This record gives sequence, structure tokens and C-alpha cells, in this order.
Amino acid sequence: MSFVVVKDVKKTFAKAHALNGVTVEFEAGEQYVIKGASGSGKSTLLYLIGGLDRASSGEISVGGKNLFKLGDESLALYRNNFVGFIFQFHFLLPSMNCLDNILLPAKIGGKDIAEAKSLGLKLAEHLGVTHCLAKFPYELSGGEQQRINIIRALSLRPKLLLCDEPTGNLDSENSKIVTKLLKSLAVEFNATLIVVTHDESVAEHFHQKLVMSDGCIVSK
Amino acid sequence: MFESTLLKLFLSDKGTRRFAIGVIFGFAFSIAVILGNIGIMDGFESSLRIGLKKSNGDLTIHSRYGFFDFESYLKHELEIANINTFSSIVQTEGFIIKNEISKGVMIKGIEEESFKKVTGLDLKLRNSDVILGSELAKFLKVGVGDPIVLAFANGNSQVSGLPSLKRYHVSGVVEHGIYQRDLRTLYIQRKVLQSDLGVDNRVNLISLNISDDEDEFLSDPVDYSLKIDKVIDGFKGSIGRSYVVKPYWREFSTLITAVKEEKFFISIILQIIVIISIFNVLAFVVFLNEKRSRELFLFKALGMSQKKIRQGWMYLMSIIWVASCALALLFVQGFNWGLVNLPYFKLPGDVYTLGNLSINLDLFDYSIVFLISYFWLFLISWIALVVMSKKSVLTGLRKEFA
Repeated sequence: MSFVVVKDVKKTFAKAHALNGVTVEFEAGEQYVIKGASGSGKSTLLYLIGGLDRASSGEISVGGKNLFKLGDESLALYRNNFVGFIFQFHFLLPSMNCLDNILLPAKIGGKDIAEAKSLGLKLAEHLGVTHCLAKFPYELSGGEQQRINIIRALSLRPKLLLCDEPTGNLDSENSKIVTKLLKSLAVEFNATLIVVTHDESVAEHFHQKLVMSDGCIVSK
Repeated sequence: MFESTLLKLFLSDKGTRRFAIGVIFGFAFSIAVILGNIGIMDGFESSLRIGLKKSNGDLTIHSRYGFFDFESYLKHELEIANINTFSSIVQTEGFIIKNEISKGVMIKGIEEESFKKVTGLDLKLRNSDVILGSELAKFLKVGVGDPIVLAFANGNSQVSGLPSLKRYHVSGVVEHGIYQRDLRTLYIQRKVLQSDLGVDNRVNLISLNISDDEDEFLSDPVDYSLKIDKVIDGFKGSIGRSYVVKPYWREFSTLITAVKEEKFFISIILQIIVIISIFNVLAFVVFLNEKRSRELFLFKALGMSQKKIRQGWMYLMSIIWVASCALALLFVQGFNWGLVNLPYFKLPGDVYTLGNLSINLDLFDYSIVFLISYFWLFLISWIALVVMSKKSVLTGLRKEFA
């Protein structure tokens, strides 16, 4: 059985249909890119897989768990334990330094801070941002901020790495670096990687591509 | 642990901190207003009881048939009842006259030592001395050493039907704390009054305390009054119907009951002040929720449940509540200091019986006010949070990250 199974999922916002019966499966440890124009429903699908919202109908199961049957508390636990989110806007908290930002998921989940810190330091060294850890986000460049964001997403060793336009704010050089980083880290953490983008240069790094249009998957 | 991170985030900017301080001050002030009002009511009752006890002891006994010989019967009954602190008194009414001004007064003939034990009033009297209540002295414009004349209603021995007049000197002025008592009471030595009235060694009033421990009364005058009631019930069976036993508050019992009723209704009405100040808290919750919306949605995305976010809010509300209660205590102390020390807060004694007020609050008063404010604060905040949390994480993220 696939790691992520999406069955006939529909999502309606007010009267607008964001997803029109999407059915797709994602294998454990694989890497996927979902392409599509703005408003095609790709981000909505990503957020539903990430447990950030509930579908209007259909079923999504991750690792055998039906997300729509989970209560608020269990869904929050799922997001904390299973999922690493990387957003287009890194959104690091300006009132905290980068290390505290990295430790945020561990603090929220009541996890072992020392372990999360140790992994954070290792990843920071690996990504070349050790010098940024004591700094506040506004003191960093866009590329550095996105690296810190990636470290935060990986700090609890998620099994599912969901990225919504992760390079949307970066120049082409940094974009290439970050995409390669995500792919290699996903391999290192044995995580399933799903990247949503409308950027062809990012999409070309992935073998498994899905294309969405008008709330449906039109090509696999 | 995460509550402190959430708190750090909530209060990370100066504007929010100022808003929070304003909310705390507003909430504390409204709590202090309620505490102050209840405290004044309690203080009024307490001061009234202390003042009344100061001239009567715990209770008084008088005979339905006028003067009686205390030593022959009643003293023995008191000893059987294990009452050791008592004073026999001759009490009569008369007129005090000074410079053609006269005023009706209650003349108390006392034996200083025993009277001091019962009432705590240390009155030093010699033959032909009198001590006046403070308001009476003011009214007559007399001081220590001034002569006055007392007119007794018992009749002149030479000219039947006319009052007898006696001349005395003022040896002191006493303050009971009760305006009416200070205006109408005059003390004289018992044996002098007995001689002037021609009643030999007989008396017509006994003042007594049910306990020798003065602190027992001062620690809780209201609770102590219940014990007095019990003793009175006991006396009714033992000393017979010839004697009338009255607790010290009997004359003012209607006023005391009225104050209690007033306290209850004012406490209910003043809840409105707390509710109004809680709307400030509500504004703070809405403001903070809007200001920190991005962070809150990010926390949710990173795995924080709605329940945990509500707990974080409640942690913040608890801090506001605790800080407000602590500040309210300070306000109440300041208000009490003002009541006791500032002339602006002096009461007209002829209207309010007492010349001065102070705040008197016990643990029950504090508990009830703090708990009710806690209830309102949490109820309104909880409703606000439930309404605000209706938005899904996805909708919030889309809005905030757009």
C-alpha cells in the first residue's frame, strides 16, 4: 500500500471548487513535484495531505491513518510528528533567534529539545548556516532564511516533507541550491518529498511529476 | 513549557505590553472598587460594633422593676455562669447645663476599675468630676476644668416637683466612635450618683463581657456576636423574667441589618463594573489575536492543537487575573489609607452614626470577589477564543501568507 493515498477528494471554499475529486498515491521515500497554474488546487491538495484542513469529501490516508477521522488533537500531533512544512515565505518568528525558531516544532510537541538541537546544529553545519543560529531572521539573506526554514521543517525527522513554492522568493542560483538540498535531505531522512511549484526549472529536477488544472490531476 | 514561549511571543512588542498593562490596571481598579465597597460595608458594621461595645460591654442587664441590689442575687448568678468581667452601673437621664445651654444626656454612674475591664475605657474620676462624650463637649464648648451643672429629674428634696441641680467639673473628654454616644453620654462616679439620687448601694444596670479575652471580639466582631446570643439565651433561663438582657448592638440592630442587605445588593450591581472592564480584556484578546495571527497559524501548521493555543491564552489570562488581583489589593490598601487619614473622607457623624470609615475585608470577601472576576474573565475570553478559532488553518495560512 502506498504511503499517501488520496481518494476522490473534493474541497469547496464557499461556492468555489478548489479540488474536484482528486485521486492519487505517493510512495514512501519517493520525491514528487506537483505543477500547475495559480488556482489549479495544488497548494490545497498539499495542505489537505499535511492535515491543515479537512476535505469536503473523499479520503486521505497517510501511513495507514485516515486523516479525516482524526480529531483536532490527533491531527495536530500528526502535523508535528509526521510532517515537515516548507512555505514560500519562510516565516521565521522575528522575536526569536534562528536556533529558537528551529526548535519551535520540538517545543510545540513537547519533544526532547537537546536531541532536536543536536540535529539542528548538524543540519546547520551541513547547510553552511552555523554562523546564523544566534542571529535574528532579519539579519539573514533570503537564501539563509530559507535554509533555516528547511532545518526547522526537518528538525523532528518528518516522514513527509511538504513544500509549497519553496523557491518562490529566491533567485535562480539559490533556487537551484535549495531544490538540490531538499532532494538530498529527503533521501538522507528517508522522507517522502512533495513539492508544489509553478516554476519549470524546479520541476525539471524531479522524475515524478503531477500536473494539476482546475482542481484535477490532468497528467502523471 | 510552551506556554512561556507563547507568552514571550504575545508580549514581544512594546505596544502590546502597554495594552496589557492598561488592561491590568483597568481590571484591578474595577476589582478594587468592589472590594472597597464591600470593605466599607464590613468596616461600617465592624466599627459600629466596636464603638457600641465600648460603652456597654458585650451585653447589659437591667431590672424591670428599677433599682436592685446587685450583690444579693445577680452577682451570684453571673459567677455561676462563669462571667468574671462585669460592672454595676447607675444609669439615669438628666440635663447638662452650661452658659444657659442645656442638653438631655444619659448619665452613667460607674466604678472606674470594673468599667474599664468591661469596656476598655480608662476613665479617671474624682468626687464632683464628670467626663463628657467628645461631641457633647464640642456642643457645649467646654474643656477640662470647666464647671457644668446637671439637672436630675428625681425631684428636689426641699421643693417637691422641681429637678435637683448639682455642680460638677469636667475632668476629661471621651470618644466612643459612635456619634450619638459621644453627643449624649456623661460619666460620673457611681457612689456620687447613688448619693445624689438617694438610692443607697443599689444599681439599675449591669454591663458585662462573656469572655475576658478582648482579642476574641476584635478578631471577628460578627462571629463573636453569635456567642453573645448563645449566652443571652442561657441567661433567659437562669435569671428569670424580672431582668432584661440586651446585647450591645440592640439599639442599632436595624441599621446593621440594613448595611448587610445593602452590601449584598451593591455587590451584585457592581459586577457590572467588572463586566465592563472585561470588555477591555476582550479587546486585548481580539487585538492580540489579529496582531499575532500569522504566528498562531504557523504554530498550528507546526503541530499545535487548538486546545493548546486556548491553554496558552488562558495562561495569559491567568497572569492578567493574578496581576490584577495583586494590584487591586494595593489599590484597596491605598483607598483604606485615604479613608482613615484624609479629612476629605470624614463622614458627617450625625448622618452616618460613625465619624470615620475604614475598609474591613476578610478572606471570604477576597475569595468571592476574586473568584467572580475569574469566572467572568474566563467565560468571556473563552467565548471570544471559540468564535475566533472557527477559521481553518488553511484559510488562515492562505490569508496570512498571501
